[in-house]
Amino acid sequence: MPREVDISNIERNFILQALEQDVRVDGRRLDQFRDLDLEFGLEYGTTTLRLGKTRVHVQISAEVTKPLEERKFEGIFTIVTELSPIASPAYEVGRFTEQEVILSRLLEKAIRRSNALDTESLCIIAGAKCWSIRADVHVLDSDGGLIDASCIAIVAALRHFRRPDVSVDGENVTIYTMAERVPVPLSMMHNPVCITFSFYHDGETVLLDATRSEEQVREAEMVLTVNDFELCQVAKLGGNAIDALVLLKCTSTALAKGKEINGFVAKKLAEDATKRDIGGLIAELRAENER
Amino acid sequence: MATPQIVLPGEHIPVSQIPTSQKRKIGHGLRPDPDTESFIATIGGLLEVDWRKKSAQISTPNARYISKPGDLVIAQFRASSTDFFHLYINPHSPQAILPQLAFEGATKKTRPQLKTNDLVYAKVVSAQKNMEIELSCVNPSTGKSEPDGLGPLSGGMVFDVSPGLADRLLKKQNVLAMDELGARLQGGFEIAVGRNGKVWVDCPEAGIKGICAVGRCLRQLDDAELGEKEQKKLVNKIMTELERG
Amino acid sequence: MALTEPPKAILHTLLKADGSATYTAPKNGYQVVAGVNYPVEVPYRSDEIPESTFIEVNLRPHNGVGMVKERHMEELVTRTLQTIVLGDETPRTMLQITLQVVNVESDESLPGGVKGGGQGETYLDLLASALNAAVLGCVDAGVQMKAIAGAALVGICPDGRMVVGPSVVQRKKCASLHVFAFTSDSQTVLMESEGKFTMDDWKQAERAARSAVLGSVNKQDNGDVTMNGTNITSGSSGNCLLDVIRQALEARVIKGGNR
Repeated sequence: MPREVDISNIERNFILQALEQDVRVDGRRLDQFRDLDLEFGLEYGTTTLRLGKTRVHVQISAEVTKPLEERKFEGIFTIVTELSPIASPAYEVGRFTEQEVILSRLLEKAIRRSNALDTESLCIIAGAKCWSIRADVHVLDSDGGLIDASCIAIVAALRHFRRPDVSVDGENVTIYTMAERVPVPLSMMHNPVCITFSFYHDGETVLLDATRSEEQVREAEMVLTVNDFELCQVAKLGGNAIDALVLLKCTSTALAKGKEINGFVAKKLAEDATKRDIGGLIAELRAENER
Repeated sequence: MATPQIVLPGEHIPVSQIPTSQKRKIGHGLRPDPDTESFIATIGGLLEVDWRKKSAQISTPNARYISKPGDLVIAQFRASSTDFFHLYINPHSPQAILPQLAFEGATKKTRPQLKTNDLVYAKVVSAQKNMEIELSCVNPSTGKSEPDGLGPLSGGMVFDVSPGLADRLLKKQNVLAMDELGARLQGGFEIAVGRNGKVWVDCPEAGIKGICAVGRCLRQLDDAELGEKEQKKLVNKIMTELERG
Repeated sequence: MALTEPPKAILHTLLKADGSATYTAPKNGYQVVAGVNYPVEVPYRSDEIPESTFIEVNLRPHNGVGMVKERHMEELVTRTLQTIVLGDETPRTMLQITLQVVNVESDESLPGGVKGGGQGETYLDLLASALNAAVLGCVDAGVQMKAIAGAALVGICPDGRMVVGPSVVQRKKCASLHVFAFTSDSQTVLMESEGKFTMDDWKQAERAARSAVLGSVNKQDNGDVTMNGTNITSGSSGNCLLDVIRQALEARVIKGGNR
């Protein structure tokens, strides 16, 4: 059975020693994220996010289906995360590692269950037709920070995605092509951002955005999910206990970081929109639609 | 050295481009054509011919390291059996073996006690297909660990680099920045380069920050092809950063 | 008949995998990222081959999970690679290839720009791109091979016209689709066809695919030499697939800077 190769003792000792002096091997400050880069594909809803050496590709797709029996007035939203050997030979197809389960559960909680996407707006005809939105997360390179990177990438992709416009006439639903009508963006309630904190030396050293090797030597980790205004999720799965005061401090750091990251995503989305909007055509079309 | 030539798998390399001496060494990625005298490339990369050393091989600077006898590597200890230590040269690669007595002055009683995930600087003794790769920490002719300084590593830090850069470091090819940094860093630093893309660094005087500076220098050298001037500039930059703290 | 627009190939686009490549089919078609790990330990002893290399191919669609169609393509890619990889050079190890589709062509004329590639639809369109990406990844990872291979997709229109690398709209109109793969020593290693066609059509498609992959092979026919000579002015304008692979390797090795 393939398994992750452990970090060598020399690396482990050095990383811990360096952290005692508040030094990170790659020269970052303790609360500094790695370089973040976001790229959008030609199509709506295709996003590639790079966080240092970590690279995540997210693809959003939409199709019309029948809503769930117990939720007739809501559309369907699913997030699929599967780690493949492209990121490391330790990941195997069809066998869920613990890391994979934690990743998908946390993303599920942070984005889907926090109602980031307004699923009610995806309903076309109650009980008969609705949109099913699906986010596929493909990890291409993994060097730590998978939860943070995937969360930013999914939210950015959802904000970038446009679904085809529909019109309802009694029981008949018409779905328009991209050429016929300008596609519509998804309605987002808020933009969650996951921030992972790693703890060392009995919670005395707190790191943001740990790399793979830093993750391997940490004593405990905690994921906080925030949006622009508030804390949405606290997830601490085992590891050493941490002090309540440290938690409070982390919360304010997370809120600040979350704003910063959302600002970055918004900037990138705006850049992409101007690139697409050649000659102000889309603005014109939109004005026409409204009329 | 001849002009660089790119070859793809399956390409014929005429006899005239390969040294013909009886003692020639034909390296990785070339296999003789059974019908003619020429050779066929089996991997894609740069054809490197050294007429003086009568050697030819195809280099792939970024692919996974393939062991060949005589190479120095940094291997990670995994388990031990009665007479052997079992180590990884690359993560997920088949294991290599290191006889427990293949250390300087080792006897049944004085052999080193390795712990899981310890690192060892060793030399590849034999690497044949169908056989396990065998490592050794002594020079077979003298029974000493010198001149390569083989043996278990302790302290310091290990940095991952591409096998191409490791090769350059061992040949001291276009890695002026390391000499420069060694001269300017307080007390210099100690370095052990494994062909498998691992570089061990220790500098007792400049401490942790010094080691991190060397690591940054290595990463920069790996990321971009730097000329002599640029490398000097890089060292200047790293040193000012270090002094500023 | 060379490709009207050459495909794009970039080597070493990933950082963690031993070898990787991104292949983009012409006309904004499929984009596939290949990640290759080689040689690695075989995870399960039962898969180990005592005298050869175990090849594992994983094809992952851009959305959804791989099903029967993907398994079938994986099998075809594996079998094709088995013919060119020198497995006996690295016995008892594994060559692990992951192919991730990151972009598919969308058909703007359908409601919502519905994307192709459903389970019921043809697999031939993706097959050529998947195989090319896999070969490029193997070249980057330094996999020992006796030759390289390339594949091309050819569509035959109802009026008998050949289209090399047809776009999604063109594909819909084609009477039949064919994928051929050739090694650099011009052996045919894969042929898959779908639709209604005659033997003559098939032969013509095979010729079209051959020139798209191997290009200059036409030099053997006297009639074509002059035509190709004028078409490919610099000799490496990247018109045939093998040239594209060679250029990708050149760009990689020279930029990566070994000297």
